[in-house]
Amino acid sequence: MEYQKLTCLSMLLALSILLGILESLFPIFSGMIPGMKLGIANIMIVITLFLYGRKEAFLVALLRVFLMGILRTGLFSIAFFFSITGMFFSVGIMSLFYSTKLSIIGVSIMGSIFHSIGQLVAAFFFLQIPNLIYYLPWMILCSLITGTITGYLAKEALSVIRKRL
Amino acid sequence: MNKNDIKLIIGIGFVTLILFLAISMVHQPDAKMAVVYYQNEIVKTIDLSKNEQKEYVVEGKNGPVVIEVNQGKIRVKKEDSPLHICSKQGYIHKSTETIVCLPNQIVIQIEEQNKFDTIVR
Repeated sequence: MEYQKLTCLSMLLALSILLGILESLFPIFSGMIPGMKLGIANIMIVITLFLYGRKEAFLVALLRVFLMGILRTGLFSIAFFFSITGMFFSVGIMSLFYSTKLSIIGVSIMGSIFHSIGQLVAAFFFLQIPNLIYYLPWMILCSLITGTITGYLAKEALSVIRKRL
Repeated sequence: MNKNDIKLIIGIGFVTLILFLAISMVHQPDAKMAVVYYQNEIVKTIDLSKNEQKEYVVEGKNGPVVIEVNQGKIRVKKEDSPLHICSKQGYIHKSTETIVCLPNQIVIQIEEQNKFDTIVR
C-alpha cells in the first residue's frame, strides 16, 4: 500500500471514530426513536468507498467497529455484535449499489437503511426479540432523512478531498 | 442528487407506506401483560390491565433497573447505562412496542395475557 493511501485511510478511520464519539455526546435525535442517530461516522465510510473502493471501505469500517469496541462499547459485548452486524449489512449493500447509477447520496441512503435492518437482525439473533420489526417503517423513514443528510455531507467533503489529493 | 436517487427515495417511501399500513392492522389485545426479560429469560410479568401505579426493580447487568407502571403503561424509570436510551424512551403500551436496554440486557415486551397464560401452564 502506498504511503499516501495508507495515511489517507488512517485519517478517514480516525475521523470516523471521532465523529462517532462526537455524535454519542449529543444524542439530539434519540428522543424521537430510541437509539436513533444521524450516523455521521458513516460519512467517512462512504468517502472511503468512493475514493478507494469496496475492499478499503470494508477494512476501514471493520477497524472502526473494533476500535469503537475497545474505546466505548467493550470488545465482544452485545453492543459490539450489534454494531458489527449493522456494519456488515450497511457496507455490504453500499458495495452492491456503489457501481449502479445511484449517486453517493443514494448509496448513503441504502447504507443507512441496511444499517437499521442489520440491527434488527442482530436483535432477532442475540436477544430473540422479533417484535422490534414493528419499528422497521419508522427506521426506514428516519434512515431516508439521515442517509440523505450524511450522503450530501459526504458528497461535499469528497469534492474538497479530491481537489487536494 | 440525480434522477435515480429520486426514484430510489420514492420507491422506499412507497414501501414504508405499505409497512405502516400493515403494522397499523396488527391486532391489539384487550388484556395485556408486560413481560420483562433479562438475558432472554423472563424475570417478571406485570399485568397492565389492572391500571395500577407501581414500581418494580429488576437486576440488570449494570445494576438495578427501576420499572414504573402507570395506568396500563410501562416505562424504565432509572437504569445505569452510557446513553440512557431505554429510560428516555418513556412509556409504552402497544403490543407493537418494545423497550430494549442493551447495556443492561433488559427487554420489556407487551404480550397478550391469554397467550401468556397458556405458555405458563
